Amino acid sequence: MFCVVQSLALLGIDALPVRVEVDVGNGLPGINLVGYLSAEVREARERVRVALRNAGYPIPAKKITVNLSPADIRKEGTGFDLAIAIGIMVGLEWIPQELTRDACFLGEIGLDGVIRPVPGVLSCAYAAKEEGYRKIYVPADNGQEAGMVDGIEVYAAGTLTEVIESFLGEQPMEPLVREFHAVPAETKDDFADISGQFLAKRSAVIAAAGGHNLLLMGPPGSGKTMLAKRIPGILPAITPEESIELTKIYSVAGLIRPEEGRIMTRPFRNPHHTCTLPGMAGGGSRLPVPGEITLATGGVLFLDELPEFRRECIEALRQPLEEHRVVISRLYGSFSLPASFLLVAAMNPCPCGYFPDRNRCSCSPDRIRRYIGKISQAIIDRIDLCVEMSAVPLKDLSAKNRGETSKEIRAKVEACRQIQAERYKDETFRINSQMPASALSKYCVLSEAAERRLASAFRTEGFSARLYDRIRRVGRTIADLAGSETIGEEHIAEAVMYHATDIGRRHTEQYG
Amino acid sequence: MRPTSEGGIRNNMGNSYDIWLSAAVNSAAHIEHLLQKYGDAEAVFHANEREIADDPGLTPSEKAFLTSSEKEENRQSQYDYAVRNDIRMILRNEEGYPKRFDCLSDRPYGVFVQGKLPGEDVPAIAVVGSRRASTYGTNVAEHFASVLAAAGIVIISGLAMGIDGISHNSALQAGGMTVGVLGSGIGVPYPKENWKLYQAMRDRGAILSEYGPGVPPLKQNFPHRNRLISALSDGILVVEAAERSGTLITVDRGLEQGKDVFAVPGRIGDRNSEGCLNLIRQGAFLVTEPDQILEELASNYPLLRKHCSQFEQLSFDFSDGLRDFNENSENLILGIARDEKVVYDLCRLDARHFDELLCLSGLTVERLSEVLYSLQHKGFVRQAVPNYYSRKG
Repeated sequence: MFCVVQSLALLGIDALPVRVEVDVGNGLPGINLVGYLSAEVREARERVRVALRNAGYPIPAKKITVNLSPADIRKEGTGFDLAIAIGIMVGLEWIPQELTRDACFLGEIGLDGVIRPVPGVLSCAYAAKEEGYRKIYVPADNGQEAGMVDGIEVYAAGTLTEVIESFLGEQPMEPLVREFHAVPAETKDDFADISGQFLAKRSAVIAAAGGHNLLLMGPPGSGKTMLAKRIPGILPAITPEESIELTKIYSVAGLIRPEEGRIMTRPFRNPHHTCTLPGMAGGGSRLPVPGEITLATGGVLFLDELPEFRRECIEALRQPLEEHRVVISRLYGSFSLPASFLLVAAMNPCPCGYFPDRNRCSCSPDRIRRYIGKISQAIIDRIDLCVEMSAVPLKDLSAKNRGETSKEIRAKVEACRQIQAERYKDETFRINSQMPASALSKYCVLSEAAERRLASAFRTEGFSARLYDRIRRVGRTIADLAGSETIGEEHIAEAVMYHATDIGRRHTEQYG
Repeated sequence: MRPTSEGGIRNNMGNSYDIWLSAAVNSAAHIEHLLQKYGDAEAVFHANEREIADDPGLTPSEKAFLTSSEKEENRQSQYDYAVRNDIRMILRNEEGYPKRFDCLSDRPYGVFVQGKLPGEDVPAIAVVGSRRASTYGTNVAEHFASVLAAAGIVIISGLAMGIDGISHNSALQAGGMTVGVLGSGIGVPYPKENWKLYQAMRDRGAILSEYGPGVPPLKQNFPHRNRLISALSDGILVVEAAERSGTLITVDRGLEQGKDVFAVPGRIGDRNSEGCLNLIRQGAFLVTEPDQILEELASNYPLLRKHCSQFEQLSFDFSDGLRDFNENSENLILGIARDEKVVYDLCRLDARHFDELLCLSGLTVERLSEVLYSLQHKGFVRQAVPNYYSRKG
């Protein structure tokens, strides 16, 4: 008999419904799998045959043909096992077809019949709901993940026997009881922990408020990583949409642990500088695997030792920094993954790390220039804020600069983002850092004095036009933080400070 | 067969054989040796190759150049290069050869000059120091070189990174005269980063080398070069030097030549101070202001005296700025003026990080950035290294 059972296939971070068609007829006995399958899908034949026998349902000597439709899309992964097994049971008329009509099946089967977890269950559950299915059967370990999707009954199955018996009416399965996911506790890393580094802290606040990318330069041990780690905590609280998208990404990457629910904190990704291009941008031999830039969506991508990263990895950041998505082209098509992150990079000011302390640093100006020159100009042009951190840990002597907690800072950042959202409600962008050059004259109005100051600074310092735009964007955010609609002289004065790489380059050029 | 068609040509560019010899043999003593043996450069050019190869007074690389099968092409191209780039070669018996070199036992056979050398009777000071200058050294060198250059003193240095380059640059910016003495062949800027400065020096100052066109920067040539730096100057000002620094070679050669040595003190404990502090301990003049050098030179150059008086206002003085603020009596302006004074007083010749100034001044990040911006704008403070601030030298 011919029958159809539903399953799902991952495509990027979204899922696509797949029909598992099974035909059981007379002929040379055996199971045939077709439908543009990768090796691991084809091997499902042996897994399913043995698992069914071990569950007490040996397959009779029939010719069984299984087709995974649409047949022109490459099927990968082991998630089809369960659907194939159930399909064969239905095809053999051991399970009534009506019972499986409103259900989707997902899961890898072991030879002993245990159902093992697969990646991307959240995306699949979403797709199943969208397609109008009432039930989804998923591996027990992926239960909570699938349970994040409302409006569909989730059955978390531990073994194949369990599923079959529920259809045979012997032991009905209960749908998953959704656990209530409270907002997770605040992270332990708080801004108030950082002593000194006022300039760097301030730049982090500006970065968070306007979504500006940040480069921290400083000697080893000055607290670059410590600071960067705390930036996700001062970004605005994660929205439900962001949370779902992020959880989908992590689900596809197989990075959600069974005990974890929806991801409620902004990610902090800290790839090592030996990271490869596929690791950074996303890759995988056939279907795309999310890279670090995608995993950092909505949060912070921290690149420590920026000049040590492979050039190709850094260059690959250009497109995502502009478009907030990354397009990965593979043999089976192009996939567009989200990649909207705040870039926070860190580096030493010179190869030894101690410049400008000439008692410890003996790097020649040429070496320093070459070291800084390793970062491509294309990336520097996309980093709005750059500060040099001091080597000396300084005790705060003034009450005015008392350490604020992450919570206090986040409130400021959220207020600032609110101002921006209000201002840009009719625009395609939402935050200052994304403002295109064409909108600068409309939204970045400088006071007359500020305009004069900036123009004179440009004449004397020889800034580039791009830098001019960056200073205006940063000035916009500083003014927003101060609650001022026009950008005043004091805001520009501060914005001009955050251009250490440009200053560094010019400095070494001038003084050789 | 002797190609005599242009072999004997002598114009103001010099003789092509002399240029060739100065490029082939870098040691003044070895050139001397060859000239004694063969008479002149042309005779060396045509000398028996066997004889050159067997000469015990030459190094293998010199022999290779002297007997090269391409020496005719080299001679031509070097001569053409000199003509094209307006390089003059002045032999030691010719008009225009610096008389100050006469005191040298190993004075160069000839020197290559680009630009215009200053007159013999103009006072000159060599400003030398570390190639890896700190902000303090940068500020000090800039201050001294620009003040001295403005007083009409020629600034001599070696066109290297660090103090050398800063001194040349400052002298040029002050509209003064400056001479760079190369350790590489004429027309070969070293380090490459100073190419811009090299061009400016060629056009507005002078560049001098005893090595012919195309001689690469060889490390053994630099110590020899230093004797020319000290010989050209009346005194040597050491700004920043480590305990064992190439700068001290210049000082040693200068002392042999009977020149005054001036040293700017640094802070004890700083690596870049040790050389200067040692010099002071050994009896060098301790100088903290350029006019102290001017006074010292005044005994030989009486005309300098009248320049001395104008340095008061060029020293690190803030009263000018405050006067400006007082004229503008608005409270806000006065407030900024007060903060600016506070911050300026906290700035030193050495760089201080923003955070340090923030703690010491008690201002907020926003306010301090505003004040520093204003001070920079007015030219009192400079951002020497990103987010590190110092007084302007």
